[in-house]
Amino acid sequence: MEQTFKILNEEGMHARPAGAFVKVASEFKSSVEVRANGLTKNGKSIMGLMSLGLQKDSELTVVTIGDDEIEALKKLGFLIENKFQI
Amino acid sequence: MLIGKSASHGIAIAHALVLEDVNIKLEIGKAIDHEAEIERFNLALKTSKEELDVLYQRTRSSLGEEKAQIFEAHGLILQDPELVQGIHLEIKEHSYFASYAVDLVTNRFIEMFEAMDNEYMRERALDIRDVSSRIIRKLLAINTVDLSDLLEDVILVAKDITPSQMAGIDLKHTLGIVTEIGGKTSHTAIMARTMELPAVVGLQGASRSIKSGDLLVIDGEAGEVFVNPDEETIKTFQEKRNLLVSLKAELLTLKEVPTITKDGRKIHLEANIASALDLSSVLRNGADGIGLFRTEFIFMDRDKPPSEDEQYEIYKKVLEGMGEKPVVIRTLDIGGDKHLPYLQIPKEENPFLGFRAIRYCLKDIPLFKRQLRALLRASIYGNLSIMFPMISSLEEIQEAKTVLYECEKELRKEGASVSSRIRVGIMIEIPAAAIIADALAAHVDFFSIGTNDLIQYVCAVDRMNENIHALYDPFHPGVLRLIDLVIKAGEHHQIEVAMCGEMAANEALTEILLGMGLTHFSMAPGSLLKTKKNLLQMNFTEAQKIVKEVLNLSSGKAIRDFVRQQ
Repeated sequence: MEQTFKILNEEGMHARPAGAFVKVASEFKSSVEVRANGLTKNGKSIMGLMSLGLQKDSELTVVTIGDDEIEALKKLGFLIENKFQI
Repeated sequence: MLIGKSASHGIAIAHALVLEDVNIKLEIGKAIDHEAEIERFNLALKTSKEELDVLYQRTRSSLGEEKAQIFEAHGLILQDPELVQGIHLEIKEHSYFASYAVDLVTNRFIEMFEAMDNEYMRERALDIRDVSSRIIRKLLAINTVDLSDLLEDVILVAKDITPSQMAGIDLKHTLGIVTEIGGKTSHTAIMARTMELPAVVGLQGASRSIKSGDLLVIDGEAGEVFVNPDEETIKTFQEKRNLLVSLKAELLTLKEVPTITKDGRKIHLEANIASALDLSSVLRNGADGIGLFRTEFIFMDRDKPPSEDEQYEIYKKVLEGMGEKPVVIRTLDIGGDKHLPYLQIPKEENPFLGFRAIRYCLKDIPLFKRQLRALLRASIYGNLSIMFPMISSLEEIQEAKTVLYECEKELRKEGASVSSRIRVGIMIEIPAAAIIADALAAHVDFFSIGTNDLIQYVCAVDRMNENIHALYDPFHPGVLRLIDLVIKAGEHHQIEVAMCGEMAANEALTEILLGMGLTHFSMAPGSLLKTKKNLLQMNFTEAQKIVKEVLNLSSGKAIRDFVRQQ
């Protein structure tokens, strides 16, 4: 499963948003990958996510693979669109 | 004797506890038992995480969620699967010892972050380094001192003490602070004043020239530190300290006493604050309200301006904390000596005469509106007054008020409630505004005289320039006559006149200001009770007579001499 999103919050992928993403991604058994700017990072790694340097309006593709991939993608997409407010 | 900068008054005598940068020696060589080494690493990870959880909880309850989040982020870095798996791999494949593997793998991340073209991300390298050093210390069994749980009385000596370290300090056993970095307005200094902890900062080489266990005497007011002094010095300072302690105890008995002069004039003593953290000290010293909340500190030390919601929470906290007592919040006073990297203020030849405070805010309406909306939304939680800084003309008052009313209209339309009794006032700190105070009085609810800038502008003396420091004179008749003019203008139009600059706490000037008719004095919380004690012994009619004579004198020196004789 994969889907592309746009970063909506002002600060971009700072520590707090990245932390929120990792927390949600880690709730699932499926692997989570985040692709942006030609790089692929582990979506359960806060340092990996932050190192993508995503800013407001940047695009990212979230890829989930595993038993609960549908639910994982839905929840992560909702988080991004909700500006990372849990 | 060593001399640093005075950061927080008071005298402390105790043995030094030097917080050293421990020299970390990584274990180099081959680990034979991989499984055991990985087990050792996992254990260090677990105890580090437990430590961070405690820090998070403690900081959250003492300083709030926002300050605590840093420790939550550290916890996530610590458990990052890329990091953990990377370290496991290095141990398995290369037989590295755990501490060496941690250093190797974290450095890869640190280098990656340091290379990013974004200052925020580059600073995150420091967080990773913190986490790395936490795990390595555990592996090497290097004990770090737990500042929150000390066994005996100490004076802490360090290169720097971070705000989060300050927040966790054991106040029962920490008697004073000495640091190498920082000035009077650094966060450590401000927090030390709030905690009423004697502190000397900016003392270069302190953590090298002072050893743990040295007996120290520190005088926070003079910025002096004595290392292993002789008996006589210790005795002198013990006496001085005892005197200060008994004086403070005596002053505290005045906390609930209303400030009324001998002949019955009521005076309001209010506090200057820079953060919600100062509230405890405001209440401890029995302030009648907050006369100046400098909001610029909310905007400093960050890489973007605070959001409306973030500001709202802070204003709400301060207003709620003060209950029915008045709270004067000054809108952003930036520029001059206070620079914000994320605002587009170009470098100027004369920043004090430049693009600053209200002048900037009226040009950056979105920023100004965010602050005003936050203030209006918070207004229902207390007794709010809004104050505009650096006003020089009537047009600026009108413009600022127009923006304020627009915000109010927007909010009401959105269905938010706004208090109907908010007062709007201005700082009087530009001579032109002081001179036409009678014309401005009809348009505002109060004046607050900002003497730090007013003196600098009236005397044309840059207060940062040490060569001409002596010309910066609060006793200059030009300064005093102008202040008298402002107070009279306020009286005539029946609006409140306050003073929130350093002058308000100058004991040699209290009687003159009282005699001129000043009713609201605002100052650092620590100075309130001393001023109250003085005012209780004064006579308003007496003071009026003194003012008459003082205003006829023609030099600062003559006025100073006259006051001394009184």
